[in-house]
Amino acid sequence: MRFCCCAPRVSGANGHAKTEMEYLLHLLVYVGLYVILAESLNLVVGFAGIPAMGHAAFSCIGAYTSSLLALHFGVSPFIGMLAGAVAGGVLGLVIAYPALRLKGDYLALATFGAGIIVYNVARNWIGLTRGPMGLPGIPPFKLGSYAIDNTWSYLLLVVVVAALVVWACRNIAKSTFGRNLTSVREDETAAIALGKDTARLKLIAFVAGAFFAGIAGCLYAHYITFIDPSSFTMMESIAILLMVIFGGMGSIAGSVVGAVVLVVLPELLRFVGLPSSVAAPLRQMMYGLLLVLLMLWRPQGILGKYRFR
Amino acid sequence: MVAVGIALLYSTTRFFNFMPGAVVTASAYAAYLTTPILGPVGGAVCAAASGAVLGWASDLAIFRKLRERHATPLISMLASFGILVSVQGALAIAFTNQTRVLAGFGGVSSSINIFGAYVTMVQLTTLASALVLLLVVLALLKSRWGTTIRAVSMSRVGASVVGIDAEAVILFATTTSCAIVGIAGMMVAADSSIEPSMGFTLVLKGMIAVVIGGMGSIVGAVVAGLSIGLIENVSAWWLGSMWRDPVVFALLLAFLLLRPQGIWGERPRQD
Repeated sequence: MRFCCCAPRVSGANGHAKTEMEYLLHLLVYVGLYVILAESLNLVVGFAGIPAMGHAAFSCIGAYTSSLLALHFGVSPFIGMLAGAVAGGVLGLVIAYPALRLKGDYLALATFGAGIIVYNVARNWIGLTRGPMGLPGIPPFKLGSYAIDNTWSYLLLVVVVAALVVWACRNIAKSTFGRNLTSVREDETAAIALGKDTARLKLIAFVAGAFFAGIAGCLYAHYITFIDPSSFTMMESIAILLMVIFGGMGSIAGSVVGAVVLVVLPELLRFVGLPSSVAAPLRQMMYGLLLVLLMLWRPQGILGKYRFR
Repeated sequence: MVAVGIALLYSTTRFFNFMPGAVVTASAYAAYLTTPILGPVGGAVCAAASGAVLGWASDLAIFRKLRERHATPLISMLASFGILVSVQGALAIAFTNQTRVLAGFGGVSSSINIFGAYVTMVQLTTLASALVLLLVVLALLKSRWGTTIRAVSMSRVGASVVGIDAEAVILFATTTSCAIVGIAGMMVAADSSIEPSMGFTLVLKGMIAVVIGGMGSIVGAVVAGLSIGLIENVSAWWLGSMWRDPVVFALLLAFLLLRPQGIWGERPRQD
């Protein structure tokens, strides 16, 4: 989901007359989507301590699965969302099963590589994804005969789903499973000594994170009604990771804060009146500097207790 | 050439450093600005100098602090990634996202025919300078400086105990490798074109070469770098050019999973 094209994409879908209210709602939808993404990545990075750098891959496969089902078979986006989430989970399993044998920066590099492969497949499998031309005309969510296609109703849908995901993540974190995960993160050897199947725990956490990311991808696709691979680049994965790190790894509230701040903050640039050719790289630069500063001064983020090791 | 720089950098600092990506791009733009005025040689000097300055400054300002705080490889890696992203953003603001062409190299017109294959002068120069640099680096590693670099690379604490200024050695190695990468950046710019995102792909390819060739093995990185180029072109010819990147990254994953020490490398550290 790329930030930089908030306004143009919507004006394409909803006509050119965009009020300020509409813009605000649109921004809030994005906040909701990124809350889901950050929270799902937090499960992987923050609670399980797995440095995953290719999270956009899972929202990518989720978005394409549900869009293609809806376009070719007329499947309802609600069922498509489930299918997309499952597809994300399966991809997560395929990547994590071999990759989790690695540790630390090697693991980060492996997930990075996997993310790039998924992006390239989406870009080059023209027969399925239409490649860089993208998939236009994705139908909106429908509740009975009522189509959820205006920003108000969509915001409601995203908020409900985001709240469910946050609630699910919180419960996962508080469960026995979540505490076991934390023990793996803190000291894997000790967890093994206590008889925990750490490989399995990490695998489940990774797959769960990929599952939720798949949901976010579907919500995005049926909202914008157009997807192309450029929405799921590595920069996107890094932005999500930055939200998790900024908010605080292993903190449910932290990821929400991270998503809100890092979506809203760059939007302020819009009000300074910078042209978009400057605003987009400036946002990128801000993210880069923020990452450096966080690593230097506060690797655990603002609300987190845990830092990478 | 990028692989040599990355291998040298990895062997001293022990983490996957994204800095070369920032250096390649910055140096390419430095060459773009200076070559029309100073000529190709002057441009190369400026490219190397800007690379060295960037490497030197980043080490002093950021990585030294991270080492003092005993940051893990992962934190350093993320920090270097942040630098790459912000340099890329800064250059995009300064020069826009348009691709530029490095003038003053004669371009494709000055190509010569070797055994039926057309090779441009730029590619010949690149090959020649890569060979010279490789020899220089290998000679350097055999010298007294090289010995200290290898000592620091094996154990920073151990090296300090026997009286080596580990910080100075790391600073020197970083600056040197960034200068090498800077020249590489100019060569890439001359061979194809300049754009802010050019360093990103290049540094990833370089890292893949380092992983496949073996961590800390410079010859391994060179051989792997060349074979990756070969594999890329063969797969482009065989499967179509769009599958070039996936094939290379699949290769990376295969090596990371099956033989993380690479072909010539030592076993990866356990931590």
